[in-house]
Amino acid sequence: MGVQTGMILHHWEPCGNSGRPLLCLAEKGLEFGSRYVDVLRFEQFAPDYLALNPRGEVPVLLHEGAAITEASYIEQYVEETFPETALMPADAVGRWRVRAWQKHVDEEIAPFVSVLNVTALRSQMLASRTPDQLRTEVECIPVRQRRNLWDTSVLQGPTEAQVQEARRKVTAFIDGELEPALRIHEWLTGHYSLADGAAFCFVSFLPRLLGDVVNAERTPSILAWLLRMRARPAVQATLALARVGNPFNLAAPGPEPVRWG
Amino acid sequence: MLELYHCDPNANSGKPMMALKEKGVEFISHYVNLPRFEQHEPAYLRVNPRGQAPTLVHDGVVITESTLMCEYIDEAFEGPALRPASPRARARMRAWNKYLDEEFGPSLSMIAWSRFLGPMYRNTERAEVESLIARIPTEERRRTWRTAIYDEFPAGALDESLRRLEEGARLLEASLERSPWLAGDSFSIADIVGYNMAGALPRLFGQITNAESTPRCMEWLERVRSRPAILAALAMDRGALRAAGRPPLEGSP
Repeated sequence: MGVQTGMILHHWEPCGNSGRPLLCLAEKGLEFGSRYVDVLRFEQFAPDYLALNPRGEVPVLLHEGAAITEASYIEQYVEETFPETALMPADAVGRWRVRAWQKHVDEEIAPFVSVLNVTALRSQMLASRTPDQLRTEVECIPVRQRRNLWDTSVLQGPTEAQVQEARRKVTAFIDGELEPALRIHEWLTGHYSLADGAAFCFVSFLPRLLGDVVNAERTPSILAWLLRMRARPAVQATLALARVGNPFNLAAPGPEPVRWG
Repeated sequence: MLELYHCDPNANSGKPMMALKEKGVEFISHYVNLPRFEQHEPAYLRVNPRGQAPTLVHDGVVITESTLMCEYIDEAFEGPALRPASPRARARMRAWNKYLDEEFGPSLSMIAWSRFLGPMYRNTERAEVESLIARIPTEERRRTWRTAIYDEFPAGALDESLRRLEEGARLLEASLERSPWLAGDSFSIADIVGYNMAGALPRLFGQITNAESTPRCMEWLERVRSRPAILAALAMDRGALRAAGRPPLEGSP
């Protein structure tokens, strides 16, 4: 039994941005109320949910009347509110390193995983509806930016240029940052931290989506780290929350890439 | 030893300059002339291989990412707090920072490049521009600069950017109706980021931000600008951006 907190987390599957706070709460042994939001049924655009987060994005953490959004900031909020079992170093440099990893995950992997996964997502969506139904549902998304993102990524599909850009950006991050860091350290910032959880929730997609880049020959340190992650009880408990089989087969569109550069 | 590599006090360079002045921390200033692409010269790339300014070097440790740099400055040094005490207000501060850095700032910057900055480079010999671009360390950054200089933004992107500026002005105004500073009752890093990202709004986009339609936003910008520390940072302007014919306060890509 974990520590009672009064927190409620609205989340989707234990992967991507929903996986991050789930993993953070599990690592810290904190109890919370779980509210599952079925993103493929567009529950994130229901009026009740938009009242919590007008951007129509998961996850959202409710605590003491506040609705905290954005995985990176939910993680830091939980860390600052419940500092026991620290998931950030105590020194300013170490904390900056964790935040820099969070930012790089947010900007350099997260938006591109869903681009690379769109074919799988589209067939998943069309398993339970016709293309016309899907089109109507997307056109009814009430949040303009989300509607545009679903339209361009799922209805129209990413252009070849966008897929190539996604491959380039993720490869640059893997080769330039992640593999070199894990060659030196067991965990990204030395000790296990929020940085590892954030990266794990997105990098776990890549052996399948970008197998020519992330594999035992090219990136042995990343593969060994993924196994170390999966050996952690908190990771196992978090992945056991999946309702769809392997959650790393599913990625919804978003977040939007930083718009230029 | 604390060294800051920076250009003029606006956009990303302005953030740590203002944070350090607010904190009252002395630092060694290394001026990087962005319009002359000094951030892509070998000497600078040894400090920051990404070729981006600003960079903070504290006792030999390299700290990058201007907004995270401000949180680092607040944690590493004594002086007035630049972040609210409560985790809840901090989350609000960070959400503003993210929005301003990732949505609002790039939208403003995109329009500024298309309307004001790109044409200036396009008046330069193409071979000269290409030789400057060739020094940029990564292909991704080279693409970004080409897009900016040659106005190769995707169809509809500029309209969407303008729409986002209007939305941003409304969000700022609504927030400032509730509290005097973006994260709540006290000045914070969100106000520094906001000033650096939105400070040019009234001058460049007066139809969006003005005394009639967004009075609180105008008052807030003035409140930030009149702080002694902000004035001290602004006094470090050496005019590289103006000398290059660029109106100040727009980020480089």
